[in-house]
Amino acid sequence: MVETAGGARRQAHFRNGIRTLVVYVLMIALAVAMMLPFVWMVSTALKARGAEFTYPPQWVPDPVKWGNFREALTSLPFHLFFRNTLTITLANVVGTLIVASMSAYAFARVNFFGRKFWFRVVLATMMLPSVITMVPNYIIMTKLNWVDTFLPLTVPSILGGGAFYIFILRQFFAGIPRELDEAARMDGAGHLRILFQIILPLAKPALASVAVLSFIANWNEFLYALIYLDSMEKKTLSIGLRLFQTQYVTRWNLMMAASTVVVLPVIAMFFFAQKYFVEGVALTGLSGR
Amino acid sequence: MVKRRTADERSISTDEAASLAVAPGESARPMRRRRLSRRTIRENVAGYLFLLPWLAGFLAWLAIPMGVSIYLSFTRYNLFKPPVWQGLVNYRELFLDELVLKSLANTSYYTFIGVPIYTVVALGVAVLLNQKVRGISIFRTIYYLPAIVPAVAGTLIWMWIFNPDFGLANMLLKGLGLPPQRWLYDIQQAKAVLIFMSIWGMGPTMVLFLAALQNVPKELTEAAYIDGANAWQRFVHVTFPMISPVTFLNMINGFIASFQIFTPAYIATSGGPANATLFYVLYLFRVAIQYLDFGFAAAMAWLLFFIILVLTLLQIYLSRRWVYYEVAPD
Amino acid sequence: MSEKSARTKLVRSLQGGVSRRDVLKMLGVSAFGTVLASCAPKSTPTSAPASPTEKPTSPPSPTEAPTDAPAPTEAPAGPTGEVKYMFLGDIMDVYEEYAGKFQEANPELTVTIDSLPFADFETKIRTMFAAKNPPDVFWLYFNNIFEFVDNDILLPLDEFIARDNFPIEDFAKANVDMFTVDGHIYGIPRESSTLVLFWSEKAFADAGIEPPDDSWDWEGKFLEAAKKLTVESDDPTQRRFGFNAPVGAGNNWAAMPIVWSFGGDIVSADKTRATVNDPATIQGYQWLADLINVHKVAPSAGSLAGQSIGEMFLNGQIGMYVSGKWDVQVLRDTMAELGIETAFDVAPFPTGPAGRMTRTSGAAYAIPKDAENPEGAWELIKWWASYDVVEKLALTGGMFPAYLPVLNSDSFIQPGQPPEHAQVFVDSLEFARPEAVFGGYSELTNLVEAGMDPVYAGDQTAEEALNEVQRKAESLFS
Repeated sequence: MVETAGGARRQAHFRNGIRTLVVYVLMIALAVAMMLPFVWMVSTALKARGAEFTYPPQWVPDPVKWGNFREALTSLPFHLFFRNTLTITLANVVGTLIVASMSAYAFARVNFFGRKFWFRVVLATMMLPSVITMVPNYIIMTKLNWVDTFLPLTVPSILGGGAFYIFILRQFFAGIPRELDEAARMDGAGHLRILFQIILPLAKPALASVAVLSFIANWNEFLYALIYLDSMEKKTLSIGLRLFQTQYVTRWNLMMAASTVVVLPVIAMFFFAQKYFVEGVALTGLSGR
Repeated sequence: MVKRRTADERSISTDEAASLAVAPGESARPMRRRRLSRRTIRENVAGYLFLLPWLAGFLAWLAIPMGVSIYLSFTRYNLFKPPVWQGLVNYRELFLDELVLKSLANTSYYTFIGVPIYTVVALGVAVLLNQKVRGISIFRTIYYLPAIVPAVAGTLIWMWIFNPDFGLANMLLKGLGLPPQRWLYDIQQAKAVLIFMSIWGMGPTMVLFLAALQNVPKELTEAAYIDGANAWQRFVHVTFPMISPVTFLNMINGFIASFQIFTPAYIATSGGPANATLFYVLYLFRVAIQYLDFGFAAAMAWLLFFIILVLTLLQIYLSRRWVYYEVAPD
Repeated sequence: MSEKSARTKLVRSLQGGVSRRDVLKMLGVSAFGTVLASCAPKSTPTSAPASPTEKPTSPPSPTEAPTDAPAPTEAPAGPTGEVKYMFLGDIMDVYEEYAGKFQEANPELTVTIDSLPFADFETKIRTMFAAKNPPDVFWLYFNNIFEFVDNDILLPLDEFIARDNFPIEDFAKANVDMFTVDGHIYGIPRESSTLVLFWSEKAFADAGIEPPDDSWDWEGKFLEAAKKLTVESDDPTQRRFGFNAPVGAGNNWAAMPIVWSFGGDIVSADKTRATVNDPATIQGYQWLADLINVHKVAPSAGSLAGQSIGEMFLNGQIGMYVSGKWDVQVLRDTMAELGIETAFDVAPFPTGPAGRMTRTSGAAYAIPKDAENPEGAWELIKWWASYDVVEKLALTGGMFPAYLPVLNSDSFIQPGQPPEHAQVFVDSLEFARPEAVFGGYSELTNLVEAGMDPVYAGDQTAEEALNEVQRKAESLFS
């Protein structure tokens, strides 16, 4: 059977088209599956009391109870939880950026005795299970009377923590050409100026990635907030949500309403900073190899 | 084989060259001299000054507590009275306490079954996204989203979906004509449900795989195609080795993180039913915060560290067989 | 993108430097954040604390006699300063109201109230003790008395009681005994409790059966009624369970009296050994599990998870369950919220092979040894334990005071409101006993609960499971 060139091309296109279609179908199916829990969360959040327990369950609530959000948010001081979480998170993000940048710069650019050793120490701390220090730190915090304050959630993670961020930044800094340093050195710049005027501006993508990663990690923090924050005024969003669960364990519509509100800021921030987030992590994760 | 020097090593020599130009009186390798030049002192001071905040924190919140933790693991301490030295009692107890062993078994199940599944799924989705179709960034965002949601919220949502009477999951089964399951309330199923929940958050891992896949040089896959390799062969012989460092990284991270799972079990099952989801860190938390048995908790923590260490070293050792580095690793 | 081209891209996108001003701004924000983080206040004091405490000459006492007016009119010379009170936060408005009145009657003292839900409370109170920074008055739960006394952190109240002629005899003896260790009283009882059988008027009416009475026995009439009440269905909204058995994690305390009425217990009377696999204990637990798996009158543990037992009960979907006075308030509120007319009532526990038993427990007001203001603390305790305050607490419906004058009055029984037979709560005290609490009791309970899970699920017999638990429990007594 003689095949024309055009026929072969058409066949190839057809196969390609099928393939693309299959890929699209799979991707969409997966996307639907991934988003389903969120949709179900919002659907439940808008249901009237008791309507969660219908059989079979309904997708579209009828009536739609927008008031659930207000009821959920006011039954516990969620505005306080929000403020607390924001405070802790911002303090951590800014503090981490500063300390991690300084440390990463030292490892990448400063030639000091024991540099390799300390860098390996930093890496080693990444492997340390947090529970090792959880017990003695709890005792220390208790004796210091820092329990039920924000201090245990900020100070140790800014000072002594963030090994992963130091690693990311250090790899990135190391990739910045030395010639730029040298040029500044010629002008008489010391390390501090090199860091601020040369390195940091070029490292904005990496810094943004660290900022976003740190933001999300701190916003979602649970275990340490659980251990250290007892008073109602101190609790964070995650703990508040858990509290909600124990107090309103059967009010699924309110629980889902509260969950929606807790989830929204992260999703919003993610859409804003997406570029740095997804690309930056991949880039910094692979560079320096 | 030529070993390419890393950017770092190259930079050092440039630095030295620069310093040579600046300080004419010094020899070619100031490092090797015994006498400390002013520059070296300045470098050292600068280095440690920059490192100081982290170092101070490291001492205060890591090094010293680690020491305290080792000490505590040999004592009996409940916070009210001073610690009482007990020698190796806690460590012996570790191997006799049934809940320690049970929680280790649970955690191992979750880790050794969950991480491979999770990694394969993430890789599979990454391969899917790597096809030349439009709208990748939208899909990538959607797949990433679940991972950034606070664990408490995510767990609550899944608890509701898996509710035996009114949840979506059983509705789905019913629609398929299958009998309803007890999910998180079933001793056999609870862990599997938690593994399933963890896969929902595979976004970040998938993104790393995707970036790695996109970095695989086209010339290699095309060369294989020309040689007649089909898609599967191209994947196994070209793509997979090229992304093996990232696979290795993901697996190590996955194992370390999975071994420390806490929040979903705490929120969804409190370790039940019948301790089926009593994971190691959850039990440690209970021992420390509820029973106030800090000595035993410290011993548990060190056992965990030891296990993770051994596991990681084992993986590193095994990695020589299958991880292919284009560049000699640091 | 290779590393080299990435760097080239960076070099090409060189922008202006980070100026010193930017740095200062960043530092400022971070410092601000850290300052914000560190100066979050601990609790909200009602006014400034601490003038030095003086030795009281004649300490004031709000009267305890049932018929007198509450507050003394004279401003007494007495202890001064801040008094910090910490409890679970239930019936907070009564406490806040009377804290105000206390301060009026005792101008030298100010009251600061802190509260936390149960799980957090238990943790926080211990860390406060450990940090040597406890409140002055706190809610002491019976289950913790031995742990706290062993760690020597409680102040004995005998001297205060003797000095002020405090009428300790007006408090239920069983509850005072709960907080007496080695002859010293460590707490003034706040509340007591008994477990009774709650039954749903709607469910019983729908099934057309007679309500429970004191002729009931667990294995006979109770089981019969539960079977008649139970309706099976694939549609979970059409089901009815005769009895919501107290099974599952965290519920063993409610199952204990049933086990007792079979003659069993999980620990021996002298608390020297576990009796988890005694034949009577096994029999009791097996009977409980059979309700689920054999007679199918009770839902399996967790199958009603995430649903409101109270609502189902009031709607007639659950016939009976085990609870205490605290639930009365919750049920009344739910009835009001959902507009439910048919109510509920209570009945005494049925009898078992070994007789009729129920469980009592209690909590008290206690003073830590390290309290800053023990004198002021004692004044506050006397206030909280006075007739007016206790009456107000009892009137909310959910409180079961250990103070006899109020307990035996209509303020507790509240005729005209459900449950009609509220007297049952008081009468049940006669055959009530507390759990045999000791140092390792909560661990023992956890072992039993975990061990019983497969039994309740129908996968194991109680005998097998409890033999295992007995073995594991041995280490708690060594």
